Order: sequence, then C-alpha cells, then structure tokens
Amino acid sequence: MIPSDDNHKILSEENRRAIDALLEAGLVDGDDLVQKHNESAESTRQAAALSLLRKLEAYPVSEPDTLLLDSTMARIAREERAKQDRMEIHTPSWGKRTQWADFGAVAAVALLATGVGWPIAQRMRAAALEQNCANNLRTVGSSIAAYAVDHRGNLPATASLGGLFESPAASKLDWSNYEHSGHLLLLERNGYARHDSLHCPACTAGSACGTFSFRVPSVNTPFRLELMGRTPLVADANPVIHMRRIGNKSELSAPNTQCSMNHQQRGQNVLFADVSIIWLVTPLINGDNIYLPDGVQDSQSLPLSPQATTVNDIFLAQ
Amino acid sequence: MNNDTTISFVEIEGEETSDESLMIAHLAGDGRAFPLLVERYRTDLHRYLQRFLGSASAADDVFQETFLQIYLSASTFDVTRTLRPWLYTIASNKARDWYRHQKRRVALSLDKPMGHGENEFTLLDVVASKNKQPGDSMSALEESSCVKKVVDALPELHREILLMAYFQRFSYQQIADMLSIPLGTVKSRLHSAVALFADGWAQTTHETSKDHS
Repeated sequence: MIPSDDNHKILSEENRRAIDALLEAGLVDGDDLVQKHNESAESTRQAAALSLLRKLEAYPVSEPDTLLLDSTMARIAREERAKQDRMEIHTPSWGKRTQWADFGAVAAVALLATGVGWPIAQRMRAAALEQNCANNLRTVGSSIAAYAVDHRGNLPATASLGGLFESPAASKLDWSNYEHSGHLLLLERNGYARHDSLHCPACTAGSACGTFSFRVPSVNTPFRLELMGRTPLVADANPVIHMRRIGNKSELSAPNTQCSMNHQQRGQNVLFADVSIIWLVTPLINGDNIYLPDGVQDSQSLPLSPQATTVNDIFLAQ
Repeated sequence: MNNDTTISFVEIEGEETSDESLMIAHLAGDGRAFPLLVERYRTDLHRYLQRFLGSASAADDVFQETFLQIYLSASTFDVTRTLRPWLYTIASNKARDWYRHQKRRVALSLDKPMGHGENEFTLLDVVASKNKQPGDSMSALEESSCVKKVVDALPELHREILLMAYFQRFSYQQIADMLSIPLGTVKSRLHSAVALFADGWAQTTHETSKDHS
C-alpha cells in the first residue's frame, strides 16, 4: 500500500517542528540539545526526537565484502562485453575463403530443416486445414438449420435442379456428371450460404475434390431436420463417387475403408444434424459406411440413381 | 547534459579528487577513475542499502546494479552538479526495483488511526519523558534486533526517506529533488516515518520487556 501523505497528522505540531529543526540543522546541533535539554520545552523535544532517531544507529550492518569492488567491476565488464556482442554486426568477409566445413555445416542444417522441419510444417498445415474445413461445415450446418426454420423444418432438397444432384446434363444420369449436391447449392442460391463455405479448403487435387457430400433422402421418408436425430448430414466429399467420376476403378479395392480425398484419405469431417462436427478416421458409423448405400460394397455396384435404400440408411453422396 | 569542453584530463589525487572530477576523468577515458568511485562509496552506500533492504546479500546485488547503471549512464550525468544525490537516487530506484521483484514484504497498513485531538500521537513525548523506558533495560544486541525489526517493518517509502535524512544527511530539498516529489511531501513523509518508527519501537520494546518479565 502506498502510504497517504496525511499520515504526518499522527505527530503533533510540536513534534513535527522539532523533527524539522533537527533535519534542517543537519542533526548537528542535536548534540548540544541533548546536553542542555532542560533549557526549554522546544529543545527538550528536539533532544527527545534526536534520542529516538539515534536508536536507528543500532540497526545491525555488516562491513561490505572487500571483494565488492572487484565483483562490481567484473559485472560491469561482463555487461560491456555483452553490449559489444549485441552491437557487433556479423558481415561476411569477401576476402575470406569459405571453408568446406562451413558448407558442411550449412548442408547439415538444411538437411535437418528438411528432415525434421518439413514434416512438422506439413502436419501443422494439415491440422489447420482440417480446422478450416470444420469451420466451413459449421457454417453449412447453421445455413441448413436456418433453411429448415424458414421451410417448416424441411431440409434443402431439390428436384428442379436435375433431380437429387446438380448435373450439367440432368437427363444423363451418370455419376461422372455430378458436380455437386444440388441440396447444398440450394442453400447458396437462396442466400443461406456463400459458395466458398460449401468447399473443403484441404483438397489439393484441384477441382477433382474439395466439395462436401450431403445426405441422400431415404425413399418415402420426409426429409425434415427434426427427424434426423443425431445422424450425419454433410461430410467431406464421397471418395467412392469421386473415384467413379474420374473413372479410377483400381483405387477402390477396399471401399469400406476409403476416406475422403479432401484430406488425402486421412479421414473426414462429418457434420451431424445437431450441428456438431466430428473428425472420423474411417467412414464407418456403427458399421454403416456413410459413403455407400446399404447393400453396396464397392463402386462397381453403385446404383445408377444415387438414393438411400432404407429409412435408416445414412448415405452421403456427392 | 555535460559540456564536452569540461571533459578533459583530470589529475586524480586519491581522496582529494572530488566525485565529479572522478566522473569527468572516467568520461575522458581514465580507467582508474571508476574503480576509485566504487571504492569510495563501498561502505557508505552498502550500509544504506543494507538498512533499506534488510539484507547484506541483497545490498551486494543492488550495489552492483547501481554502479552498473552509473557506468552505463555516465554520459548523461551533468558534471556541473554533485554526484552523490544522483548516485543515491539511482541506488534507491534499484532498491525499489528489487523490492518489486521480491514481493516478500507485506505493506504496513497505515489506515489504523493512531491518535486524534488531545490524544494526538505523543510517542516523542514518551521518549522525552524522564521515566525509565522499556527499551532502556535492553542489551545492545536486543536493541539492535529491535531496531532492525522496526525499520524493516516500515513501509518502503518511509524507510527510504528516514534513511536518506538520518544516515545520509540529505536535506529536505535534496530529497525532494532526488525523489522528484514536492518539499511538503518529503516533510510529511518523514514525519510519518518518524512516527511509525516511534510507534514500532514502543511496541517492540514493550513486547521485549514483557518477555523479560
């Protein structure tokens, strides 16, 4: 606590004057005052004050170490050296021949940076992209919820955009023509979501991936938000359909374990109907592959029309 | 700021050379000057710091810090002024920094009323009375211990000003200049310091005499 300067009130006016007189006299006259303190009340008071102050001299102090001078000068010298080091600018000497050892050291550092630093940087970048993807999915989830509120609980589903899926040639029901889920595009076209939020930023394979796959409505079941419970609604792009589109059948040898291409098949972000987002390292939820309709094991047997087969089937298709 | 023309060769003649001349010599590049200055204040400043900080080892540290600061800031010293107040100002600042880092002390509350009106504090009167005081029966060792206890318990600002005024014999005006506070504040702070010391002394000696009995 910083003491209040009002504390001088705790001394009487006479005592304050006595202290002031002593200090102003440099405490020199105090000796005389002590000798003749009976002469006046004022001098008695000053003598008493001096007597009190002299008790301070009983404060125990030890003689400083004789090495204090040396240690002080040594400390100053250390600081001087440190200061010079800080100020010194290391510039390459053009006249000095570069040693092979210098090259070796530089090469070793470069190798170390490449061998250790690069993978770390890559992992950090991948983690950041996964987070950005999850953020986009969260935006999509909010957009879907807003859409449902405005449409009596119905989820975005369109037949006018070429059936369940947007297709440049709607009449040609072929997987290779499906560019994006028409459901999600409906959000964009009606102002519920921006186009850039409908994409995963982690995709490095150009236009071949980077989209999201939306839930395919089950046959003869209302497509309403409140009926979804806590089930997946949207996820990173369906790898099975992606492979089908680009015509690469050989990569689908084990479709049940294929993760989305968006994150180089390390896993996928999945948006649930309660707008929670989970990173899954396999496409399986309770044994059901979210990227395949029930009864389908690989891309070869995908139905021509992408449609969920049963009421409880969770099928996210691009 | 110092004038370059004043920084010239200074003949160092041991004790007779003033502090300011030593600083001028140091600024002129005389390597003997600064160690002489350090040695000159070794005892006086170290004792001041011991009383201020309550510890000899802390005083060692702050002493070194002080002279390091003096060394680094020597070029800013106005050689037309006296060095001693500047030195003690830096030492006090360093000591306060040390306290801030330590944070070991609990500030003494001064909110407690110590006397009003007719009962206005009269500890000096008590000391002045001819009656035998509790402290009178103490041994030198006990007295030393009590004084340390009381001084160490003083709030930092009060302890500083009391030590500056009593031991270093700085005038009110010098203290005001050193601490950059008004003269009236110096006085009131010193009055408080004396009263707190008197109060602490009375309490401590009273406890000691009770222990004896």
